[in-house]
Amino acid sequence: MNEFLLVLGWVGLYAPMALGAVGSIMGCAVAGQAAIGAMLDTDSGYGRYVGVSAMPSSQVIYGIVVMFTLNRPVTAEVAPGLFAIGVLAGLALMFSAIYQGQCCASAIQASKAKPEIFGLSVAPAAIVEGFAVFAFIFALVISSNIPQG
Amino acid sequence: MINSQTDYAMLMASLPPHALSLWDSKNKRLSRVQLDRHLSLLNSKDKQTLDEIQAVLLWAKMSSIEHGEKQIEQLLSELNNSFLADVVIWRLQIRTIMAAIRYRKLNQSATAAADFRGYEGVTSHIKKNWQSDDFTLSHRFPWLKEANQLFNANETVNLEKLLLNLSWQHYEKIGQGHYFDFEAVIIYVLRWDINDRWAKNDEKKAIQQFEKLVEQALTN
Repeated sequence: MNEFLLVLGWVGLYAPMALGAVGSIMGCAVAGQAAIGAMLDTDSGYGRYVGVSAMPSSQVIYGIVVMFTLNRPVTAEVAPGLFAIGVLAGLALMFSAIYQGQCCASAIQASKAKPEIFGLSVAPAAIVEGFAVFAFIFALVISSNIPQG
Repeated sequence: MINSQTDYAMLMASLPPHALSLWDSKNKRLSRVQLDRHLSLLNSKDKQTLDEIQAVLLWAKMSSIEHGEKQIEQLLSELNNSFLADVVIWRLQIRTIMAAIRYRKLNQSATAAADFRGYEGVTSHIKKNWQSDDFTLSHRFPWLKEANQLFNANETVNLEKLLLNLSWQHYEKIGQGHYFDFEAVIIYVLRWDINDRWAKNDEKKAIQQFEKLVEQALTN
């Protein structure tokens, strides 16, 4: 039983970083290809398309910070807490990155046709980012309640 | 899965958006060559599905009625995507209803209803209600009443506009929620076809073509 708890603890420790990375990969890939597509149809604004497509990369950074905050000797006492916080924060970061990528792709597509709405079109992606920040901040706050091993 | 999703994102982002209105001629429109160049980003399976859907829905690509019926049967049995099947069926239903209205006017014989052929989903209902002005389908197809009025008034251009706009708006409506997937590509191409068909309308050419057909019929 103890060994199983330890495995869960290690999973929880690495989950925010791994799941955040998976989300960022998927989000950036969708938004990035949308940016490439938009470049085929426009003569300017390439830089901002690529800039917007990089937005979902922040989740992996949040994941790394949560991982370091959770990092402590893994024991049977702390493992359940590490698992719960790590996996849930990781899932939140992963899904936020995936959906943010889709928001960014839509923003790129919309601003390609109407450059004047560029700022507003990025707002939904920024709102999704806000939820990722919630998951990140509260993972940090609550992880302080887990004993240091 | 990821590769496909990103490929569709790239393809859809590379296509210029359709105009809000079908009658808006100011908007930049892709040529067939340009559209085909963009569609070359599709993988071979998706390209084949798109071609099969177009072959069924575009008159220009249909070789004969018998062959068309086989193609429709085959396509609907092979399509494992309910959204795309609905897209095809919706258009076939419109086509069948309009064909029935025209056929009823041209063929007043007693066996007209029995002889009529169309998409099976509505054909049996049409045959049962052959004498009814709207085949008792107005509740399912609210546009039918207006289409019938325009047809009876011989307003062919307005009827054509009504039917094209109907498909244009229907595709826009069902396309909500599909932005970077294969369904979005199909909807885009079908709307492009409608736009292309309207943009190619040419009164002079139509008269020439009509005269040519009349001449052919007279010589035969």
